[in-house]
Amino acid sequence: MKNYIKSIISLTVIIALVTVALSVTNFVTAPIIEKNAGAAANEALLVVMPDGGDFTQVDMTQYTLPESVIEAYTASNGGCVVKLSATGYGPDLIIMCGVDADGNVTGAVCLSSNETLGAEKTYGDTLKGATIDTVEDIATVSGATMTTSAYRNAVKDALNTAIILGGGSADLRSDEEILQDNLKAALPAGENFTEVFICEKLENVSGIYEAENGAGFVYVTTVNDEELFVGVDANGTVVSEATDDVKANIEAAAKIMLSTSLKEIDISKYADMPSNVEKAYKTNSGNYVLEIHASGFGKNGDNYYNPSGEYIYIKIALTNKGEIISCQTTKQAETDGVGSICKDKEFSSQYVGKDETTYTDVDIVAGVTLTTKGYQKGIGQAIKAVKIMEGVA
Amino acid sequence: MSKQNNMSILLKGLLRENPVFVLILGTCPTLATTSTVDGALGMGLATMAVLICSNIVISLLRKFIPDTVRIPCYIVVIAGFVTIVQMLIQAFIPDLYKTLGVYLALITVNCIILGRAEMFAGKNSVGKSALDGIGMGIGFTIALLSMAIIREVIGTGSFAGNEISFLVENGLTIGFLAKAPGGLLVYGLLIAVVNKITKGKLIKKKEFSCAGCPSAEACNGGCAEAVKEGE
Amino acid sequence: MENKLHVSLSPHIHSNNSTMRTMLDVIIALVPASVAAVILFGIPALLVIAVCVVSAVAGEALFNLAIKKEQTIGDLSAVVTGLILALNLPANIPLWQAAVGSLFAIIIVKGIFGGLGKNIVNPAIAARVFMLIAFGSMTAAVFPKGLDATSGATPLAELAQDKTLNLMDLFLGKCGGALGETCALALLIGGVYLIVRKVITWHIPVAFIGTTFLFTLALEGGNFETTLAWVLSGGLMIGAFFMATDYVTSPSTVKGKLIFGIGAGVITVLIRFFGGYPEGVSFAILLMNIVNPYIDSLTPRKLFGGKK
Repeated sequence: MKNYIKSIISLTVIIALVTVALSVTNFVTAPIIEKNAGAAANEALLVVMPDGGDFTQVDMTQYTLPESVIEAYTASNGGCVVKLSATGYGPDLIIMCGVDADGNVTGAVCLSSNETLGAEKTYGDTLKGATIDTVEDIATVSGATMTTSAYRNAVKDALNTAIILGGGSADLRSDEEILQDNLKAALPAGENFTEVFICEKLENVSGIYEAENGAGFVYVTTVNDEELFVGVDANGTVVSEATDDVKANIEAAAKIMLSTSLKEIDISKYADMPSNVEKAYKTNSGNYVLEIHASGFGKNGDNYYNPSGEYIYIKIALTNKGEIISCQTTKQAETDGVGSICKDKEFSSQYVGKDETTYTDVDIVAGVTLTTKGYQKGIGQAIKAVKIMEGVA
Repeated sequence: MSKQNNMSILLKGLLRENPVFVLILGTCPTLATTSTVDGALGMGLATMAVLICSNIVISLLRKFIPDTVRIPCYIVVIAGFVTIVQMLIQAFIPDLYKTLGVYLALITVNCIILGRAEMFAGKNSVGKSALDGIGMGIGFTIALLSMAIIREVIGTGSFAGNEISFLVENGLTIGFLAKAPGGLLVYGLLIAVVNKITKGKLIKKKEFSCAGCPSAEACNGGCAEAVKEGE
Repeated sequence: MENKLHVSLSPHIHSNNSTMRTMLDVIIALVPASVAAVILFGIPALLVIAVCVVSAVAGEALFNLAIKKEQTIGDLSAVVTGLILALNLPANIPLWQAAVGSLFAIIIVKGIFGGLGKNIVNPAIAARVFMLIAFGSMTAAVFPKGLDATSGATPLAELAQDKTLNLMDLFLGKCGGALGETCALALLIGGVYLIVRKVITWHIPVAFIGTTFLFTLALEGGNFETTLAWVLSGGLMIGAFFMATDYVTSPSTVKGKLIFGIGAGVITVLIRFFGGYPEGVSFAILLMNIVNPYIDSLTPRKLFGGKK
């Protein structure tokens, strides 16, 4: 019994002594640690806003901010610093961006990233001084499009955040939402628009969207260098406001599109048909629509790295002379952020209007040689296939 | 006689009873913090500080601490010193605090410290315990540093954060060594080298018994008795 | 008569002389693959082979000197290790890395564990895996010379356009990969020579390649052409004939050999299809080397005259 009591007492005394020692140390070090942490945090924020002074964290629950915002601070000089999370080539591209009271970017840095090319390390400098109106005009870095465009979008979100924190309102819709809203404005009866594959040569039409509910189509045309959305009902009559010239042009295009029909061609009867052509169709106006595959980085025959990879699948419309009417990547499994640029409309539409002699003018993208070269060869085979089917090859 | 004894207490930690390469204690921080020289030096010195302090205090309290609760008492003292060192480092050397991260708190469970408390400080005078702490601390730091130098120079081509341009520019690095499996490899090779160097001078580990144990001198068969009692 | 002495070496103590003869046979069997490598990849291949063999032999000699052991370079096993390792490396590997790999195989995998016969894993395989983890250059594919005259960067795409898997190219070695693993034909010649000379038995290679074939066929949904491409590419042939059959690290009984081969095949396919590395042969052999003692104890040898 005595032993137990002695054990308990001695252990208690030792614990008490240690506790005293700990609290004394803590009393001395706690203020220094706090000061260090505060200084470190403030210093980090000063990087993007050198004359920001002291910062106070914003209670984010009080505002509706863009989803990418992680933290926001207001500076004593009237500006703010926003921390954002973006998805570039990899996830968790963390960006910190300062915006002054006038809505100019005072600086942007990447805090951490999983990117491969390193473009995020310096891209922030090019965004300095941008405003909400000019930020989208700043060029992305070629070869690191995915990273830098994600970076730019994050900075745009930061600029919007600054507007919201300043009491204003900002357009937080995504590109897709903006597109759908524009289409809906042109054809109020339509819902849920999807893009239509254009297989006829149309004058001054850059895109056609079809309403899911059958209400009609929206044609995208260009007037005075600006995109104009024109609503057309199911019978091909223009329903939105437009000049007579535009109306006539669109109605003519709609008439062609409504009357077109596809008939599949049996490609097995052509002995020397390129092997990458999977299906071929002919329209009643004599154009060809081909479904082809191209060998990119993912699958290219005896690729040592990735023999189970995927081809790039392309849908392409050509005239009987071999001129490309439209071109669209339907499926691809190239490396995300590198070869995957082949799915972008900006990439595939470069081939529109090209023919047998000019399709090689489209640039091979440096750093994405395998994909873009393979893509071009695939297109070349499609043109060859049309020649074969027309019997001129 | 006494002087000589003190000298041997101080020196035995360097090689003959080196905690890392001979006693094989503190393996976790050894593997975790030796990818850079900075981290290894910081960890070695922090551990040495805790080791000296805890050895002195435990030696002071050795008459007061009842045998039945000695392990909890040792752990409380050690954990207390680790927390104090941690707070001091966080306050005055924040960069080192960031480098060491969680491994700083884990000094508490470093077997070297509890091992020396149990094997030495609990049985010897304050002065000798302090010398033991210094010797073992230096031995630990040297061991960590020797591993870190090999791993950082060959693994990442730098020394204490300074790039060795000759290695980096010619691609003469083996990144494997900076990673965890490389750490185990270097650890094993260094143990082999130490074994080779001290061959014949170390206690011969011919048999699996108290006599073959490198800690036999300090332990005096305590473990064996404990095992017998357990039965 | 003399050949019969070679039927099952592993459990018996044998003289240096027989080890040397076995090793000589293995070297002869590796000649076609080495010649094919030099034809396909040119002088760099010759350099890699030379560096690997020389540093393996030198490493063994120096290690023996350092630990004051009887010199063992005469048994040619270091030459075999160096040669097999060289055939596992790409032609453009920096030569110092090839030397480091050879020394790793000889000193760390073999020497430290007690020399030939006491190593727990095959030295060449362990060194290949070490180098795969340690050096980025190991994954860089090289392309045999003469097939691509334009640019070095994207030969595969140039060749692959408009062309499906060309099995004959794979069989003859006109594809990317390490020195010795590309030419399946040369490896097959060497493997058959070893079986004819009774240096190895057919069990491990057949079980290994057969399992890989069947498993791949199942995963590829019965597509023979793709399956054959899987079997002919990568390090399967050299692994199955030359590395999985190492006496020291593979079972000695027929049942054990079959288990070893099947296990290696299954792991290879699992890594190839579901793992993070493109090639699983070396990992598969290494893992089976490690479980080898258990296979041996599960498949004990029947005592002569014992119960059936």
